[in-house]
Amino acid sequence: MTPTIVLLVCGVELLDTTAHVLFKHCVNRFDTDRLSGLKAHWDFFLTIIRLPPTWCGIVATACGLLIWFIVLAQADLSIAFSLGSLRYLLIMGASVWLLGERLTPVRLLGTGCIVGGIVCVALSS
Amino acid sequence: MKGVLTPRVFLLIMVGDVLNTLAELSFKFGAMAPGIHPITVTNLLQFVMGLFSSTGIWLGILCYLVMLFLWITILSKIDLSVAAPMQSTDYLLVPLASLCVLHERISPLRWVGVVLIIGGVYLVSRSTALTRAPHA
Repeated sequence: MTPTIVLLVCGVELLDTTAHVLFKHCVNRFDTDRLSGLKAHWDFFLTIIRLPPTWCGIVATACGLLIWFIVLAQADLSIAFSLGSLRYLLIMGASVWLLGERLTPVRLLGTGCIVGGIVCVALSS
Repeated sequence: MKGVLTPRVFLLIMVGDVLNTLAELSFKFGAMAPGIHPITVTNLLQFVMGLFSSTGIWLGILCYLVMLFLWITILSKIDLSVAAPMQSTDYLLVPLASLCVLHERISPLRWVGVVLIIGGVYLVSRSTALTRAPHA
Protein backbone atom coordinates (compact mmCIF):
# COMPACT_ATOMS: atom_id res chain seq x y z
CA MET A 1 0.00 0.00 0.00
CA THR A 2 1.87 3.10 -1.26
CA PRO A 3 0.97 6.78 -0.58
CA THR A 4 0.03 7.06 -4.28
CA ILE A 5 -2.62 4.34 -3.86
CA VAL A 6 -3.99 6.05 -0.70
CA LEU A 7 -4.21 9.36 -2.63
CA LEU A 8 -5.93 7.66 -5.57
CA VAL A 9 -8.49 5.98 -3.26
CA CYS A 10 -9.17 9.40 -1.62
CA GLY A 11 -9.75 10.84 -5.10
CA VAL A 12 -12.15 8.01 -5.97
CA GLU A 13 -14.13 8.57 -2.75
CA LEU A 14 -14.32 12.36 -3.33
CA LEU A 15 -15.73 11.73 -6.81
CA ASP A 16 -18.10 9.08 -5.42
CA THR A 17 -19.37 11.44 -2.71
CA THR A 18 -19.91 14.19 -5.29
CA ALA A 19 -21.96 11.76 -7.40
CA HIS A 20 -24.13 10.65 -4.43
CA VAL A 21 -24.82 14.24 -3.35
CA LEU A 22 -25.77 15.18 -6.94
CA PHE A 23 -28.09 12.14 -7.27
CA LYS A 24 -29.74 12.89 -3.92
CA HIS A 25 -30.01 16.59 -4.79
CA CYS A 26 -31.93 15.67 -7.96
CA VAL A 27 -34.19 13.15 -6.17
CA ASN A 28 -34.97 15.73 -3.44
CA ARG A 29 -36.41 18.10 -6.06
CA PHE A 30 -39.46 15.83 -6.40
CA ASP A 31 -42.20 14.65 -4.06
CA THR A 32 -41.46 10.91 -4.02
CA ASP A 33 -43.61 9.90 -1.03
CA ARG A 34 -46.46 8.58 -3.17
CA LEU A 35 -44.26 6.76 -5.70
CA SER A 36 -45.08 3.03 -5.84
CA GLY A 37 -44.76 0.18 -8.29
CA LEU A 38 -42.01 -0.69 -10.78
CA LYS A 39 -43.52 1.40 -13.63
CA ALA A 40 -43.71 4.58 -11.50
CA HIS A 41 -40.12 4.07 -10.28
CA TRP A 42 -38.85 3.41 -13.80
CA ASP A 43 -40.55 6.63 -15.04
CA PHE A 44 -39.07 8.51 -12.08
CA PHE A 45 -35.63 7.06 -12.90
CA LEU A 46 -35.99 8.24 -16.53
CA THR A 47 -36.90 11.73 -15.28
CA ILE A 48 -33.89 11.81 -12.92
CA ILE A 49 -31.33 10.61 -15.49
CA ARG A 50 -32.38 13.41 -17.87
CA LEU A 51 -31.33 16.11 -15.37
CA PRO A 52 -27.90 17.77 -15.94
CA PRO A 53 -26.69 17.31 -12.29
CA THR A 54 -27.37 13.57 -12.65
CA TRP A 55 -25.15 13.51 -15.73
CA CYS A 56 -22.44 15.34 -13.77
CA GLY A 57 -22.82 12.61 -11.12
CA ILE A 58 -22.51 9.86 -13.73
CA VAL A 59 -19.37 11.53 -15.17
CA ALA A 60 -17.94 11.78 -11.63
CA THR A 61 -18.69 8.06 -11.10
CA ALA A 62 -17.05 7.17 -14.45
CA CYS A 63 -13.92 9.20 -13.60
CA GLY A 64 -13.85 7.54 -10.15
CA LEU A 65 -14.18 4.11 -11.79
CA LEU A 66 -11.25 4.77 -14.12
CA ILE A 67 -9.03 5.72 -11.15
CA TRP A 68 -10.45 2.73 -9.24
CA PHE A 69 -9.27 0.39 -12.05
CA ILE A 70 -5.73 1.75 -11.62
CA VAL A 71 -6.03 1.09 -7.85
CA LEU A 72 -7.31 -2.47 -8.42
CA ALA A 73 -4.39 -3.26 -10.73
CA GLN A 74 -1.99 -2.34 -7.89
CA ALA A 75 -3.53 -3.42 -4.58
CA ASP A 76 -5.30 -6.33 -2.86
CA LEU A 77 -9.05 -5.89 -3.35
CA SER A 78 -9.85 -6.22 0.36
CA ILE A 79 -7.36 -3.47 1.37
CA ALA A 80 -8.39 -1.07 -1.40
CA PHE A 81 -12.06 -1.66 -0.67
CA SER A 82 -11.73 -1.22 3.11
CA LEU A 83 -9.81 2.05 2.62
CA GLY A 84 -12.77 3.08 0.47
CA SER A 85 -14.86 3.31 3.66
CA LEU A 86 -13.55 6.90 3.79
CA ARG A 87 -16.66 7.57 1.73
CA TYR A 88 -18.81 7.33 4.90
CA LEU A 89 -16.91 10.26 6.45
CA LEU A 90 -17.17 12.25 3.24
CA ILE A 91 -20.86 11.44 2.68
CA MET A 92 -21.66 12.25 6.33
CA GLY A 93 -19.92 15.63 6.00
CA ALA A 94 -21.62 16.35 2.69
CA SER A 95 -25.04 15.27 4.06
CA VAL A 96 -24.66 17.74 6.95
CA TRP A 97 -23.27 20.69 4.98
CA LEU A 98 -25.00 20.33 1.64
CA LEU A 99 -28.21 18.38 2.34
CA GLY A 100 -28.97 19.74 5.84
CA GLU A 101 -28.78 16.47 7.83
CA ARG A 102 -28.11 16.45 11.60
CA LEU A 103 -24.99 15.16 13.43
CA THR A 104 -25.60 13.29 16.74
CA PRO A 105 -23.22 11.73 19.35
CA VAL A 106 -24.19 8.20 18.19
CA ARG A 107 -23.36 9.13 14.62
CA LEU A 108 -20.00 10.57 15.75
CA LEU A 109 -19.31 7.33 17.69
CA GLY A 110 -20.17 5.34 14.58
CA THR A 111 -17.83 7.53 12.54
CA GLY A 112 -15.09 6.92 15.16
CA CYS A 113 -15.57 3.15 14.73
CA ILE A 114 -15.28 3.53 10.96
CA VAL A 115 -12.03 5.52 11.31
CA GLY A 116 -10.71 2.87 13.75
CA GLY A 117 -11.63 0.17 11.27
CA ILE A 118 -9.84 1.98 8.45
CA VAL A 119 -6.68 2.33 10.61
CA CYS A 120 -6.76 -1.43 11.46
CA VAL A 121 -7.12 -2.34 7.80
CA ALA A 122 -4.29 0.04 6.79
CA LEU A 123 -1.98 -1.31 9.56
CA SER A 124 -2.66 -4.93 8.60
CA SER A 125 -1.16 -4.51 5.11
CA MET B 1 -36.61 14.08 5.45
CA LYS B 2 -37.61 10.82 3.75
CA GLY B 3 -39.53 7.87 5.21
CA VAL B 4 -38.31 5.06 7.47
CA LEU B 5 -36.37 2.02 6.30
CA THR B 6 -38.96 -0.59 5.25
CA PRO B 7 -38.16 -4.31 4.63
CA ARG B 8 -38.65 -3.71 0.88
CA VAL B 9 -36.11 -0.85 0.80
CA PHE B 10 -33.75 -2.96 2.96
CA LEU B 11 -34.06 -5.80 0.40
CA LEU B 12 -33.29 -3.36 -2.45
CA ILE B 13 -30.15 -2.21 -0.61
CA MET B 14 -29.06 -5.85 -0.08
CA VAL B 15 -29.58 -6.65 -3.78
CA GLY B 16 -27.50 -3.54 -4.56
CA ASP B 17 -24.76 -4.75 -2.17
CA VAL B 18 -24.57 -8.18 -3.84
CA LEU B 19 -24.44 -6.47 -7.28
CA ASN B 20 -21.71 -4.16 -5.97
CA THR B 21 -19.67 -7.15 -4.78
CA LEU B 22 -20.12 -8.81 -8.21
CA ALA B 23 -19.05 -5.55 -9.90
CA GLU B 24 -15.96 -5.25 -7.65
CA LEU B 25 -14.88 -8.83 -8.42
CA SER B 26 -15.51 -8.34 -12.16
CA PHE B 27 -13.46 -5.11 -12.11
CA LYS B 28 -10.66 -6.80 -10.18
CA PHE B 29 -10.52 -9.65 -12.72
CA GLY B 30 -10.67 -7.15 -15.60
CA ALA B 31 -8.07 -4.78 -14.12
CA MET B 32 -5.76 -7.61 -12.97
CA ALA B 33 -5.31 -9.06 -16.44
CA PRO B 34 -3.30 -6.22 -18.07
CA GLY B 35 -1.60 -4.76 -14.93
CA ILE B 36 0.58 -1.58 -14.79
CA HIS B 37 4.31 -2.08 -14.05
CA PRO B 38 5.67 0.55 -13.57
CA ILE B 39 3.15 3.45 -13.54
CA THR B 40 4.09 5.62 -16.56
CA VAL B 41 1.92 7.64 -18.99
CA THR B 42 2.46 5.09 -21.82
CA ASN B 43 1.65 2.13 -19.55
CA LEU B 44 -1.44 3.92 -18.17
CA LEU B 45 -2.75 4.58 -21.70
CA GLN B 46 -2.14 0.95 -22.70
CA PHE B 47 -3.87 -0.15 -19.49
CA VAL B 48 -6.97 2.00 -20.15
CA MET B 49 -7.18 0.80 -23.78
CA GLY B 50 -6.84 -2.80 -22.58
CA LEU B 51 -9.69 -2.32 -20.06
CA PHE B 52 -12.28 -1.82 -22.79
CA SER B 53 -11.50 -5.19 -24.37
CA SER B 54 -12.02 -6.93 -21.01
CA THR B 55 -15.23 -8.89 -20.40
CA GLY B 56 -14.86 -8.40 -16.63
CA ILE B 57 -14.95 -4.60 -16.98
CA TRP B 58 -18.11 -4.68 -19.15
CA LEU B 59 -19.81 -7.10 -16.73
CA GLY B 60 -18.96 -4.72 -13.87
CA ILE B 61 -20.31 -1.71 -15.81
CA LEU B 62 -23.56 -3.63 -16.47
CA CYS B 63 -23.87 -4.28 -12.69
CA TYR B 64 -23.28 -0.53 -12.11
CA LEU B 65 -26.07 0.43 -14.55
CA VAL B 66 -28.58 -1.82 -12.74
CA MET B 67 -27.32 -0.42 -9.43
CA LEU B 68 -27.92 3.16 -10.66
CA PHE B 69 -31.63 2.37 -11.15
CA LEU B 70 -31.78 0.65 -7.72
CA TRP B 71 -29.92 3.54 -6.08
CA ILE B 72 -32.25 6.24 -7.49
CA THR B 73 -35.22 4.15 -6.27
CA ILE B 74 -33.64 3.76 -2.80
CA LEU B 75 -32.85 7.51 -2.59
CA SER B 76 -36.48 8.30 -3.42
CA LYS B 77 -37.50 6.37 -0.28
CA ILE B 78 -34.86 7.21 2.37
CA ASP B 79 -32.18 9.79 3.31
CA LEU B 80 -28.66 9.54 1.87
CA SER B 81 -27.23 9.28 5.41
CA VAL B 82 -29.36 6.15 5.98
CA ALA B 83 -28.80 4.58 2.56
CA ALA B 84 -25.00 5.01 2.43
CA PRO B 85 -24.16 3.30 5.78
CA MET B 86 -26.58 0.48 4.94
CA GLN B 87 -24.16 -0.51 2.18
CA SER B 88 -21.86 -1.79 4.94
CA THR B 89 -22.49 -5.46 4.13
CA ASP B 90 -20.06 -4.90 1.24
CA TYR B 91 -17.34 -4.89 3.87
CA LEU B 92 -18.29 -8.43 4.79
CA LEU B 93 -19.09 -9.69 1.28
CA VAL B 94 -15.98 -8.33 -0.49
CA PRO B 95 -13.34 -9.73 1.94
CA LEU B 96 -15.24 -13.06 1.94
CA ALA B 97 -15.35 -13.05 -1.85
CA SER B 98 -11.65 -12.08 -2.00
CA LEU B 99 -10.92 -15.01 0.31
CA CYS B 100 -13.03 -17.59 -1.56
CA VAL B 101 -12.67 -16.51 -5.20
CA LEU B 102 -9.36 -14.60 -5.41
CA HIS B 103 -7.62 -16.55 -2.59
CA GLU B 104 -6.27 -13.33 -1.06
CA ARG B 105 -4.92 -13.63 2.50
CA ILE B 106 -6.91 -11.71 5.16
CA SER B 107 -5.09 -11.21 8.50
CA PRO B 108 -6.87 -11.17 11.92
CA LEU B 109 -6.18 -7.41 12.31
CA ARG B 110 -7.86 -6.77 8.99
CA TRP B 111 -10.89 -8.77 10.16
CA VAL B 112 -10.98 -6.58 13.34
CA GLY B 113 -10.97 -3.54 11.04
CA VAL B 114 -13.82 -4.98 8.97
CA VAL B 115 -15.88 -5.68 12.14
CA LEU B 116 -15.22 -2.12 13.46
CA ILE B 117 -16.29 -0.63 10.12
CA ILE B 118 -19.51 -2.66 10.12
CA GLY B 119 -20.21 -1.67 13.78
CA GLY B 120 -19.53 1.97 12.91
CA VAL B 121 -21.82 2.10 9.92
CA TYR B 122 -24.54 0.33 11.94
CA LEU B 123 -24.30 3.06 14.64
CA VAL B 124 -24.37 5.78 11.98
CA SER B 125 -27.56 4.41 10.42
CA ARG B 126 -29.08 3.82 13.91
CA SER B 127 -28.34 7.46 14.84
CA THR B 128 -30.48 8.62 11.95
CA ALA B 129 -33.40 6.53 13.21
CA LEU B 130 -32.91 8.02 16.72
CA THR B 131 -32.96 11.61 15.44
CA ARG B 132 -36.06 10.90 13.38
CA ALA B 133 -38.05 9.19 16.18
CA PRO B 134 -39.23 12.36 18.08
CA HIS B 135 -40.62 13.80 14.84
CA ALA B 136 -42.36 10.61 13.73
